[in-house]
Amino acid sequence: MRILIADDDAVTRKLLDATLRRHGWDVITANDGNAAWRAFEELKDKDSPALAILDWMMPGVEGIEICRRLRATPGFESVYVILLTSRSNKADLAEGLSAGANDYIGKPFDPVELEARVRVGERMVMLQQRLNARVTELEQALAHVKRLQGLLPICSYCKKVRNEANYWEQVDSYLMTHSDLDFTHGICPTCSDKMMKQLDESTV
Amino acid sequence: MTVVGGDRELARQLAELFLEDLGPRVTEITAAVSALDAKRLHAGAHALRGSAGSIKADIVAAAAGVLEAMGRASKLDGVLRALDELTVAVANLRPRLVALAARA
Repeated sequence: MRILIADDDAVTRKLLDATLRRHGWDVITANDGNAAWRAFEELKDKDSPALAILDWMMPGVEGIEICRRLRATPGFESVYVILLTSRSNKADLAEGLSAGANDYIGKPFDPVELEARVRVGERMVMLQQRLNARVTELEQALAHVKRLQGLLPICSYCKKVRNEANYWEQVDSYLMTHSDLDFTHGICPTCSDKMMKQLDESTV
Repeated sequence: MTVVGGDRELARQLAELFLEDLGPRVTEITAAVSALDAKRLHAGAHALRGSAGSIKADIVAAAAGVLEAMGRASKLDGVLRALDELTVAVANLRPRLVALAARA
């Protein structure tokens, strides 16, 4: 999983980077909010980060603003965001979560806590990816299914049906137009007997 | 060392990075105090507190935290004494970090 770290403090950035790399994650870094947003835009539709650790207070665009932008931008809505903050009062944390952050870590961060929280994020990212793949599969399957619904007038004698254009047509041609059905043609035993009788009668 | 998971090279790099920014950060805080600019003091002290906290330089982080709180609240009574405490804390920390950064 690719992780973006955005923090204007070089020491914190380096420490986050080293800690996450030690656990095998692919990390890219940004030294302010503008650089973080640029990274997302440049990597869109390629290998954009699935998880972001954003410092709340940064020059330029703050972490909380990036969070709002991600939630409002198609393709980035499901990026898992962890806000890094030294703010600890409940109103601030509520503001961060309301802006769309999934989690937060207090500054200075504890490496063990960081790893645990990123693992939670990774699980959520994987679940989300699996869910997205399933939805795509279902959408593709649904695109191949044409459903017939409603009332269809049918002639009691010849069994023709009345279509939307008010014309009477054979039931097989109607179904072929309105579904993915295809017909193979044959003769059933009853009709076969009937036909044979008619043939015999006509020869006599 | 627990912060860096026993990685001496990482510890050395962090000391180097911290020292690079330390001078400009203290200068910025001093300038903010001289100008009695609370907003600038808040931002400058916040940055130093975060950085110092990351390397567990707790005394510097605490001294910067006092200045940050003064800046945030725009209450600068006693700011000179708080700045003195930060200066002393930084002076005590610097030689240890210089030694750490110099290790090959």
